Amino acid sequence: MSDGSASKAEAFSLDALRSGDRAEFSRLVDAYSGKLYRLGLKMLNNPQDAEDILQEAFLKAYRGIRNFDGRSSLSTWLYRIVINEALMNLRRKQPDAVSIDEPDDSDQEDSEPLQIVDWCCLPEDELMSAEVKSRLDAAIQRLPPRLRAVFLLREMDDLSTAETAAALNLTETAVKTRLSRARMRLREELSAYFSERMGGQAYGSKSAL
Amino acid sequence: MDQKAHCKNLLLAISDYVDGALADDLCRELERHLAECQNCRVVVDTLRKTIDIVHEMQEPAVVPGDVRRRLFRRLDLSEFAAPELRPGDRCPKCQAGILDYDGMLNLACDQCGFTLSGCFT
Repeated sequence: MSDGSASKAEAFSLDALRSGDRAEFSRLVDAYSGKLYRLGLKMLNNPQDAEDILQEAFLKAYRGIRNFDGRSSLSTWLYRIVINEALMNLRRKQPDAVSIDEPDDSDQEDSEPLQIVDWCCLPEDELMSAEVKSRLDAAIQRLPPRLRAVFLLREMDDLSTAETAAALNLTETAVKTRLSRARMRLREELSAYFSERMGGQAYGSKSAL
Repeated sequence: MDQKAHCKNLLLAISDYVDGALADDLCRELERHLAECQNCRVVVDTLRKTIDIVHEMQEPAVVPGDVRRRLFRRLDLSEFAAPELRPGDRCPKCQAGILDYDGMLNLACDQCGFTLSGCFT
């Protein structure tokens, strides 16, 4: 899935950026600060922290751009810096949170889906309510940081599997596995919520008659 | 393989399946399974819907004005922090006129004559 993000970044002159052209860097900041700030907010759930890592990330980018090797796209490189800042921020705040560093791929598997309720037929205003949004946001916050990072880059920022793998230093298989687990967890959450709303009726298993 | 183990294996493929990224043979296998497994069909449908909801409810990617200002200051780029002006924008000086290109590719205000030179793309 290639969206415009890579080509957008490539619209910048790497030579100008590498030689410290401040006007060009300003354009880069304006092109990406919205996406990177939103990513920080979703990773850290705190506007002040999101602002801090946004500043740190662009400072690092400014200093590091001379050594940017161009192996990944500029946008992937920026996402990578922001995610690293976010993970460091979380690590500082929750030094005991193993989940940040755990390899987290296959060993400790999620249980299979528990909620088998077909809520797809609910009316649109029930599916898209403010309450659903807050449930969803809370569920995203409960994802372990490394699942959350994969989920946000793929679903929110539309990075491809390959770009996400490059940004997070993961294999593409690991990206797919984590994305799958994150999605399934959110599906469980929403299913639990909607099944309550539907009064515990298992619509899906009702007979057609 | 019993039904339960079978479902579990296929669940790993479902995420790829909803992305349309599942290899052909696995895709056929999954679809054969879905044809006879109501539970897995519900999982596929509700997973798709979950992803729809995630996309639908996404916040816009904007950086608030004060955050942007502080960012530019921290980067020592404040002189570049002025919002980018385009033809059709209101004049930042008199707030009355509308900016448009003059004959020299400068942005000029049609009321007060305020002019911004440079290359606007």
